[in-house]
Amino acid sequence: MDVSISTILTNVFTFNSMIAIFIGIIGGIVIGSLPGLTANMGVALLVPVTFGMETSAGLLMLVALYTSAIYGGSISAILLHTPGTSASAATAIDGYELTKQGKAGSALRISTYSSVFGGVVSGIALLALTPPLSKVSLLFGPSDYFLLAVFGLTMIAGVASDSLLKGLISGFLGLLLATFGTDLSSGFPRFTFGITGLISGVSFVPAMIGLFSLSQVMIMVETAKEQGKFETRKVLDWRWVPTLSEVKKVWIAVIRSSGIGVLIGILPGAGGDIASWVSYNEAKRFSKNKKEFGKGSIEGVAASESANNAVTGGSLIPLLTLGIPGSGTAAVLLGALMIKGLMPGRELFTKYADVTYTVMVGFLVANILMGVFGMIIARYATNITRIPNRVLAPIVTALCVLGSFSMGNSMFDVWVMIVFGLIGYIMRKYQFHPAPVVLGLILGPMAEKGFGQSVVLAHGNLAGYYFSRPISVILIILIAGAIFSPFIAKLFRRNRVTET
Amino acid sequence: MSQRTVDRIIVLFLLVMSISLYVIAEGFPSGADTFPKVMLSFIFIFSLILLWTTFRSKKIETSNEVKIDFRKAGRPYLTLIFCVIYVFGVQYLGFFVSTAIFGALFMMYLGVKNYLTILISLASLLSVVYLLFVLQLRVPLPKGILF
Repeated sequence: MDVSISTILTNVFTFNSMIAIFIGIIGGIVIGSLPGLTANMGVALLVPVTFGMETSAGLLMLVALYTSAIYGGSISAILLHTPGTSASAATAIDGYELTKQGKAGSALRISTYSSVFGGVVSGIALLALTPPLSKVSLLFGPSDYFLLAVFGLTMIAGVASDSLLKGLISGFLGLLLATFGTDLSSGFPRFTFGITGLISGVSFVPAMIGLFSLSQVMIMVETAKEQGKFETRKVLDWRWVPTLSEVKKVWIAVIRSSGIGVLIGILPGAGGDIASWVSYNEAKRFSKNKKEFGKGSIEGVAASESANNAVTGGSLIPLLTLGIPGSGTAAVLLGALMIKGLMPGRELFTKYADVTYTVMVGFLVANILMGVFGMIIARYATNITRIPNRVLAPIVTALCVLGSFSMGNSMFDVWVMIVFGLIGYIMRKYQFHPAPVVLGLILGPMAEKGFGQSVVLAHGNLAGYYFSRPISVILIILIAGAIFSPFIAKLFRRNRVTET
Repeated sequence: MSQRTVDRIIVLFLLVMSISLYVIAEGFPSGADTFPKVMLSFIFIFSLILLWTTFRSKKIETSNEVKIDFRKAGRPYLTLIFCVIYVFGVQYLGFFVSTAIFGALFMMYLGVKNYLTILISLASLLSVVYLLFVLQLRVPLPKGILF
């Protein structure tokens, strides 16, 4: 299916798409700037809202929320020294120092423009790289999708959880949970335990809301009673546009960090927090003003913020081409794609090209508008961040119930959400992570189908079958690399310590 | 409780779960049982490795002490009980009424003393939900005996 640029632009600038982008941006900035709420949670809660919307408008709302939440995290990092999201932890160092020096306006300005730049660069990379890379998906036969799913799980397991082993257990639990319900090939109900609602399986949207959002509420209430008032500071040095000296100081760091961000985003499993720390360190290494870092360097803020927003577009590249999410939030987005009947791979750029290109161009537009709204909102954002968790927690709980119910108008889904809320809380409490479970649930049906086909084609020799296919061998090497790389890195580190 | 003990409890649960589900999967027809069994085997093997790591490292015992503040530790679970009562409320009283009651009680439990804050936040939430879900998205929210 060929789509013209004018068709895509018309799709992006429709009333519905623009409203969706607007809601996504405002929602994202608010969620990102509130220290108790996360981008994962925001996207998970918003997925049910997109059911009744046009496919492209719904997806635009989610990607706009994703990138804006990452940017929003910098506002509280700068003004309150409390990163709204983990991706803004590096921003908090110099951002808050600048605030203490009465330069909060400068920090917010640099953070906003750097985030926009990083986001736009990643949007351009998304548009340029995904169509050719999607052809790689044509190399995969149906039987390879099992290995592809395992590879995706291995990558996300390593980064999302503190322990790779716990991450892998979480991922395989997700794949196992995906088998609950009627087996499509035999019609046999598996692991239903006499519960009628389980015959159709575990719906992943309520599960995802429970794992990410209700578990977050449970974490919030631990300290909600003791939470004091945030000390707020007025922004005194406000300007809409950065000064020439500010631009001169940060432009190289912004370009470098945007590149790093896109690359780290493309690597499945690595997220915005890693990109911002790497970019922050690189900016410090190459800077002429190394001593300023940690004491209020706008270069530090620029590096961290351009990198974490560059990750957002970067993480969509393996997601759209191979179905491997580059971050926890991208895993949720993968679920949203699949609900809309869109399978990552070449089809997205042929059969559904109009939707895909609309989302990618809309993502670029969303990043630019994020800057506009960000500049309008940022200095007043402290009023939002002052909402305490004791008020937010009941509101988010109500939204969890609402979101899980509205998907299938089923109270059973609400109970599923509650159960997964408890599971998610226990997992997060003890260094397991819900992201691999969600990914396992989403990829489960595809993985089982691929595995089933491999078993049939292998005629009893599964290992022999996989090792006879070059693409499978590459995937097995990648999986092994993902599993063993932490051990090898540890070994290298130990050797270096011994040498020194 | 040390991180090592917590990990062992979780491993024990995972081992019992994977064995039990494997036994159940034995009753599935041929073909429907393969994938769940393979997944359960992976979980079993990884759990055993996790168990082995808890015996291997001595550092874990001293460095990763899980400190439990019993005053705070109960809150998340109490919240979950609140949620269960709330969901029953949604079924019998309807979404709007039970959200108003649950929201107010939950906020008071968490220490919100200003009634105006409770009123404004819940009124804003319910208005947005009504406008977006009921009027715009036409989601038939649960209606109970009241609304």
